This record gives sequence, structure tokens and C-alpha cells, in this order.
Amino acid sequence: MNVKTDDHLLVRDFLSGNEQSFNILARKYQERIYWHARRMLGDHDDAHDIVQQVLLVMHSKLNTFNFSSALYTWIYKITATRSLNLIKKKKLKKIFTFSPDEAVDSYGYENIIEDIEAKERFLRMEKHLNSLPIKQRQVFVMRNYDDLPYEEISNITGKSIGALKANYFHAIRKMKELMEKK
Amino acid sequence: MMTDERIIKYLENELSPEERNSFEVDLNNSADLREDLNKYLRVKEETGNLKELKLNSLYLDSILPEFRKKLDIPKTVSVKRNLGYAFGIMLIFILSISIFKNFFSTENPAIVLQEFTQSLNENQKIELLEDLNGDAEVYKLLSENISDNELTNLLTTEIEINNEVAEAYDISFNELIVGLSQQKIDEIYTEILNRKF
Repeated sequence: MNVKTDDHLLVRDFLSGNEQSFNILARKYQERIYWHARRMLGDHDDAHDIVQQVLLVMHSKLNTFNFSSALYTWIYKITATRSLNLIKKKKLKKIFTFSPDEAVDSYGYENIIEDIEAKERFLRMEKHLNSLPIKQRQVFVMRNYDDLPYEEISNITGKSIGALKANYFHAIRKMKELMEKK
Repeated sequence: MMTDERIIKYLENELSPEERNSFEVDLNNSADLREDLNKYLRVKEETGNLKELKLNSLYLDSILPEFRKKLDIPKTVSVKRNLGYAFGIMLIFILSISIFKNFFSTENPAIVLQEFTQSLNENQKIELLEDLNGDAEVYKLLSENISDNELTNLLTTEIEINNEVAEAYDISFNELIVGLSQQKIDEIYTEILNRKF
């Protein structure tokens, strides 16, 4: 049995009233949801919020899930949209409250990554990622961290493959330059 | 094709077989190209290493209970928030009424004018009459609010004023021809006759 049918069975089981199946799905995908949100938002608290939001959407909207696609694509779409919405919301909030840019080192709750050396590398990389424009950051994260093909990214973001490739080209070039500077 | 573009396409496996061969030949011959390629490979390597980063298991275990807790808490009605909404709606309603009041006003302009004229004293009415040049509706309204005697007096005064003005312009023939030669006088007279004055 493959992952797709496995997930579909769990969804059907949950929809017929078995909450335990939802717990299995949540445990299975919570980490991936967190990492996508964290890489997009650059902040633990925001990423944690997104995880909770996505689980809530999954719980209330799984009855609308179309079984023709993989469950993770559906979850990923929700995560990507919620993350982008939060970025926009935070930008608006920043404009209306006239608050200066927050310091990049406001990571908080750093014990979530236990390996100290990896944590340092991660924080350095996160800083570089945060300096990319949102569209470039999104395609960079989806390509390099989540290994998604352009077709799937296009399906999730609604952008053309050409536009995605152009954004990725600029993103990886900028990341190269940023890593050279360090 | 730019060097960066070639390298990225090479890494993304987007070069045609010919382009790929050509790139690899260039790579063997150029130290700069190799160095550039290595920089891009470092980006790939670094992101690849961080891909496998694991979250603290205690944190992961805390996600689901927190979510379940949120699900179990019944939705509370926030009085403060609802009052805020109510106040906002009221404010918008009041503003809308004050803005649209003028558009939907049923007051007759003639009635407003009548009230205005009635509020004037006699002298103000006369002044207003003098200022008006044939505004029939206003004249009618004003005249309705002035007694017949007052109106007669007003008209008599107007005629007297007009007579004085006419007398001021009554110039005699002799005054007109002062300084003109007989020939000029004849010319003017002929001109007047020709125009059938």
C-alpha cells in the first residue's frame, strides 16, 4: 500500500468519525508543515501558529478533500497560503503601527533544534532566506528543501512554470552571493 | 547564455545534451567556471544538509495536545470585541445618514424661499427687490408678502427715479451741435434720415 492510499484510508476513517486517524495524520505531517512555515516566516512562534491553523483547517475541511490528489499536496497548499497570508498581515501591521523592522535574532524557543552546530547553520541560512523577496523565497524553499517539481509548485502557487523558474534563478543566485559574503 | 544561467540550468538538468557536453568541456578548461559551479553546489549542499534537521521530540509531542485543547474549548463570545463592532456599525450608520440626508430631503425650495422672505423686514425686502433683475418667481413671492399699498409706493418711487434719470439725459439740440460746422451738421442729419431713425 503506498503513502497516497494510506493517507486516503486515514482520511476516510477520520471522516467516518475516528479521531485517532486524524491524530496519525497530524503526527505524520506536523513537522513538514512546521518547516515550510518556519522557512517562509523565519520565526518559531509564527511557524507554530501556522501548524495549529493548518491542523484546524484539516480537521474542519477534510470533508472537502478531493481524493484525486495526494493529501500532502492539499496540506502543503494550505500551509503555503496561510504562510503567505501571515507575511502579508505582518507587513500591513508593520505599516500601520509604524514599527521599525524587527531584529532578525528574535527566534525564540531555540531548544526545538537540539544539534547546536546544525542550529547555527540553520539560523545563518534562515537569515539569508529572510532577505529574499517572498516569491523567490517561496520557490527556493519548495525546490531546495521540499524537492517539489516545478509542475507541483505551479499547481500549489498558481504561477506559471516560466515565472517560477525566473524566480528560482534570481533566488539561488542571490543565495550564492549571500553565502559568499558571510 | 550567461555563466550563472548555464550553471543553474546545468544543476537543474535543463540543458540539452549538446549544451551539457559543451558546458562540461568548458568546465574542464576553465578554473573560473569550476569555482562558480562550486559556489552554487555549496548552496545546494547547505540546504540539503538542513533538510534533514529534526525538531525536538518534546516540542513535536506538544503540538497535538495543544491543538486538541483548542478544539475542546468552546468558542467564547467576546463582549469587548462585539461592542467594538456595534460601535463601528453605529458610527457608519450615523455618518451615512448625515451624508445622504441632503440627497433624500423632501423640503420644497419654494417653501424655504417663502420662509426666508417672511423673515425679512420691509427695508430688506425693498433692497432685495432692487437687486433682483426679473427673477419672476422670487418677485412673485416677494410681492405676495408685501401689501398693495407698499407695492404701489415702491412702483411710484421707481417711476420717479426713472424720470429723474430720463431728465438727466434730456439734452437740447443746441447743446448737441456746439462746435460742429454746418457741413458736419448736414452730414449727421442726412445720415440719420438714411437710417430711417
